[in-house]
Amino acid sequence: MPEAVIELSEEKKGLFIDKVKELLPEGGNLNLCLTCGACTSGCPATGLEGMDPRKFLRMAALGMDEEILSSDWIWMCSMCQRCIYVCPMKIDIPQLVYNARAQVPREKRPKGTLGSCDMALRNESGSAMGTSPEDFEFVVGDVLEEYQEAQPEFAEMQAPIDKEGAEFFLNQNSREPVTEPDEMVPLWKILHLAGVDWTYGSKGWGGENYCMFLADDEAWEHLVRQTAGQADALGCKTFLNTE
Amino acid sequence: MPNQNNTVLVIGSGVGGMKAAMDLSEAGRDVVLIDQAASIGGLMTRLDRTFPTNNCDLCTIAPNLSENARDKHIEVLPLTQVSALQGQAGDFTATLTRAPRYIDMEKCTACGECHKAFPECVRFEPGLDHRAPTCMRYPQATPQAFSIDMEKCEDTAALVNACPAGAINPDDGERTEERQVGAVVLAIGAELFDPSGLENFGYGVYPDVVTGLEYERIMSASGPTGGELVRPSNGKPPQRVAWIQCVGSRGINREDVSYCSGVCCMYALKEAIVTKERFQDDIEATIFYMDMRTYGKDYELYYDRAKKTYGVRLERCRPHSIISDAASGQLTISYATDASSALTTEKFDMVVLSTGFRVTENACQLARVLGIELNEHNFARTQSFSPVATSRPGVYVCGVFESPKDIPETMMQASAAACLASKNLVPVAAGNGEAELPPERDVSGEEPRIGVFVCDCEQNIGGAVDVDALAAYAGKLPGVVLSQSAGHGCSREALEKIKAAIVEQNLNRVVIGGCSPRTHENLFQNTLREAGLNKYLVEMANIRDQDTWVHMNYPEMAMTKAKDLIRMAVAGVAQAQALKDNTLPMNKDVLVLGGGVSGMNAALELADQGHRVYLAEQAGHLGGMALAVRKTLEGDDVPSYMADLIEKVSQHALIEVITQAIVVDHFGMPGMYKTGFQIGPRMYYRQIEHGATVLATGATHNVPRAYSLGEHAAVTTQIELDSVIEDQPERVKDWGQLVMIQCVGSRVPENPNCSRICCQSAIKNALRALDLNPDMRVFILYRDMRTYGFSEDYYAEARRRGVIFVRYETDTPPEVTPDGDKVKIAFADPIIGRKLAVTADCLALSTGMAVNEEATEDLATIFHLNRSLDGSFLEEHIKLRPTDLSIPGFFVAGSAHAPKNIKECIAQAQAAASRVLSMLSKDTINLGATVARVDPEKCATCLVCVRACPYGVPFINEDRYSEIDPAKCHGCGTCAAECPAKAIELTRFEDAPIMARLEGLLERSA
Repeated sequence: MPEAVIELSEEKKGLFIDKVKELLPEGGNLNLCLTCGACTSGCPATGLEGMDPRKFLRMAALGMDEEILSSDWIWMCSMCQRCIYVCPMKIDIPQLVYNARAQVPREKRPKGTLGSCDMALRNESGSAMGTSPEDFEFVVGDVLEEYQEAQPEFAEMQAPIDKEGAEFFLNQNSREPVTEPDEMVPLWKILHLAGVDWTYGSKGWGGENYCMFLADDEAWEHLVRQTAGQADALGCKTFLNTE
Repeated sequence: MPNQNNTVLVIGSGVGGMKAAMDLSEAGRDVVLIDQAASIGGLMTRLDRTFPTNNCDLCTIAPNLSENARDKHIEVLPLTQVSALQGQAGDFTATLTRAPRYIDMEKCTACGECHKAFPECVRFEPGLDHRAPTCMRYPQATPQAFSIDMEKCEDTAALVNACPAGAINPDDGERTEERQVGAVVLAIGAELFDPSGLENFGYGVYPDVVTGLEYERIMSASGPTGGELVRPSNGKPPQRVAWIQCVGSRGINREDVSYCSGVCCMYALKEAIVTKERFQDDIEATIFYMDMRTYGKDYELYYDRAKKTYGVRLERCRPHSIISDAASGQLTISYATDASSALTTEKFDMVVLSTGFRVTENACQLARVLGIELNEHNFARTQSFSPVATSRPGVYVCGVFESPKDIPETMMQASAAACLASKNLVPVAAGNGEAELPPERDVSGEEPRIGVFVCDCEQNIGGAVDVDALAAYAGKLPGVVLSQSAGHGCSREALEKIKAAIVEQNLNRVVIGGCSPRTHENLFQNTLREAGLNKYLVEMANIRDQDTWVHMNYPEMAMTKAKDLIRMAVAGVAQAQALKDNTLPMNKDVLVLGGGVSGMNAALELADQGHRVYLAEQAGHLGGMALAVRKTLEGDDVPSYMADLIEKVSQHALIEVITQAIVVDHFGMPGMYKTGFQIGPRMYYRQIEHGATVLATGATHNVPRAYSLGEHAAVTTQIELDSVIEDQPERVKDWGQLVMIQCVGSRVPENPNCSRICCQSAIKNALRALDLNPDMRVFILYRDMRTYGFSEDYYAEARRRGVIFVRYETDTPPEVTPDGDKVKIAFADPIIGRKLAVTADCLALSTGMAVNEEATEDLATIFHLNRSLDGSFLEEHIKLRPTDLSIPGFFVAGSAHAPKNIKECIAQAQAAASRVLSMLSKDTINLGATVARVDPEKCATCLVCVRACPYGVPFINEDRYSEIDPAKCHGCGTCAAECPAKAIELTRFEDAPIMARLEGLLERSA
């Protein structure tokens, strides 16, 4: 143990973990850890940056705020929730990690995630690639036409955008229209063969939400409201999140 | 029709129900023992081996099963449930509903023809799946009969015709009857959690993932694989087996229950040890656990043995999931280790999920029928100072339905429930304890007509030797007129066959080729007696323990030795003579030693049921260790309970309290003891005569020299902190930081056992300190948190309220240094791998209890009692007779047996009272027939016997030869062995039969 002894003082006010507890129902059970290791045994990020979920929670519980908030590990969590799924105490470790991200000044958050969030805020697509609604409409129309012609059995296939009253509102990972447009097609085919009444939206079609991973609550909410608002405006009954 | 006010209804026939029934019947009470299953025995009959001796479970309880069935006072009603209970304590009317068996028990011979013809509708074999409908699950099933699932039967007429005895009755229907009973004992147990819903473990998907109970069935000789340990997926032996603890327990997620099931750590250790024992280097056993909870008597030693002697690997981690590896067909588990964030991944051939107890919906329904309250976990609600009484007077509970617990504790509660139930009955009628038996046939002068019965005990004997061949061999020995294999000789059916053979073949001697006389001789002696023969005309050849168990892998040599042993027994029994047991009048008074919670409760129960009690206490006042306790974990007020208890004991007309009393001598025998005391400051001598003795001498508060205890004012013990919190709340309110260290002076080489109560005490005090100052930072430094049963909820509550628990290992204990008025405690946190330090206003050490070495050593010497390795009194049987001591008439209660909390002490005190009631219900003492006899002609008055006798019995009489009073002789045989003139012989062990045995041994057969 090379590090110095950590002196635990009586003062325990204003700790990061206490702030998170106030935000969560039942305090996210953050106090209840048995240190059993179930979370760590199943976490894809265990061992990265010398950290794991149990250790992270433990450090938070001991008030080691500075060390945990400066660890890059918080950005390696994929929010998969495998930890809380098996935790005997149902401890909301994902929320603890999320709130740790929120403690980091926005400009110091990881560049890639930050850039993708900012891109999504550039226009009404909500696309991390910054693709505009017009570009999206063009690509979808272009690819559809190509397939209708090349594959006669799909001549009737549709990829509607802003179709009012459609049953399902679909979003779309925005990397595909830009880099791999053909990748959109298999899903269209399935929907077509299944006879599903669906539509994309011109607004809020971007399915990914890097602002969430960035822990930028306001931007995250903005993107969700943007896409949900479009689905509502079109009168769609069901939102299908493909991301 | 039994006397209505002398009957107890016992619901549930597992080990607890059977124990309660047997205690009551021994005490001359009538019992109606019902079970919704088709045979009695409960969960234990499905287990393979029992710790700590790892003996066969079934062998351990089989005598109890048949004893229950044969007992005249116990009426066994299988397939029966209670549908109503009217009236009140002492005068209940119970409505019993019996489901149809469709088999006439009087006619059924258990031949199995129906099962062979219609396996789908006759319940018989256990499947690997413990939930499968099973009836006669094991060969010793009592009653010995099959049952029929009529719903699955398509051709009723064909089924009826399949039975050669004409025992199948398709018109059997549900029957309802009313019974008048004075009290009810609930012993319904619980079921085990079904982990199918926890898909991360793949139970039900991966065949090699099994539950603990299924693993027991796989290992069991009566299980689906006949005791072969093989993987369900491919039938091959596994090489790597893992256990995962706390599956479904100690949690609040998904299908969890929040309590600890209390038994799984021990059963996993046992299964792992038995696995290692059987396969040694060919198999690896790994247990994944959170806290190893070996808190029972000597369980810590068992845990040590698992690690050190057997090489069971323990990994402190709860794995996230089990993943099937398609390529190897194995199961992959990843787990985390201390202070390293890397994962370790390993493959296993089988994974055992340690699942715990769950109350069934049936049990909840029964509780509604009986009108008793349940607690928040749906177990029967009891109180801290009243461990086995339910909310309805006259209805008592024992075993797992009260709270999760293991067999010894179930047995204690069962006896306690029997004790309280008998208080609701009329006093026992004289002679009700004696059974009616046929007259004894005089066989003196007859030529030996010996019957030999050879047990196969399933694989236990039959796996090593050819039992039929052995029986055929024995049939040719001199004097043998009948020789046959007996299957499970101790089963009810086999005993009936032996009885019938004795009568039909006019046998006058019997040899049982089977197991140990220590466990089964009484059973076979009683069988002979019931068949009209003197009980000393049977001899057991222990071909199991002394032969087939130890030479399992050498069948030829085992056969040779089995023949030798049988030949010896036949030669010996031919010389056996009918003997008469000596009897004396029973002294019904009781001596209770120790005036603490246990002693006072035992005294009160006995006095309330009419016995005069001498309650002797070494100190100057009653109370014992509990006087220092202020609150229980549940918040009950201990001082007011104690004041009330002391008042009741002091005022009771039948209790004489003797304080400042030190035992100095002891004579006599069960039923008529004399114990001498030095009493009071002037140490005057007084002798007390009594029939039975309860040892409730307690333990001592342990005060080890550690962590500046006694040197620094801020360092204290939990027991002192308990009082400080109560008496000086203002002082406690000012504390900013409070640290506790667990296992101080326990689980260490000097005192290897766990003190059991300290985890509860620490949590109790931490919560009360936080009540006074919610901002206090509390740290508990522990090795394993052992908050078994419902106390786990308090552990969770302590964490919820911010107590930080930090584990330490014995090689890196916390370091304590004075810091002015405060103390600084430095310790390592294994999860983050860093050293922490806290400057505390108070450091409370969980020092637990220690055996009162001086007191137990003196008493054990004076009373000739055995002690455990730790110095506490050693019970007769760690599992089934936890309250009986090795000498009949001696019983133990409370922390003199092992550390316990107050509730557990009261339960064992009531249990001890029940055991005494059973013993003292007889009016005479049976001295047995084994006593030393002196031939005056040969005695040379050399005094060797006088000096050799450990009990001081022989003396030189007026006629100048050594006289041995048969009423005092313990039958140990020391004098007979020492006598240089061969003037002394021990009945049953005279020279003639011993020489005959030796001749039998040395006479090699052709």
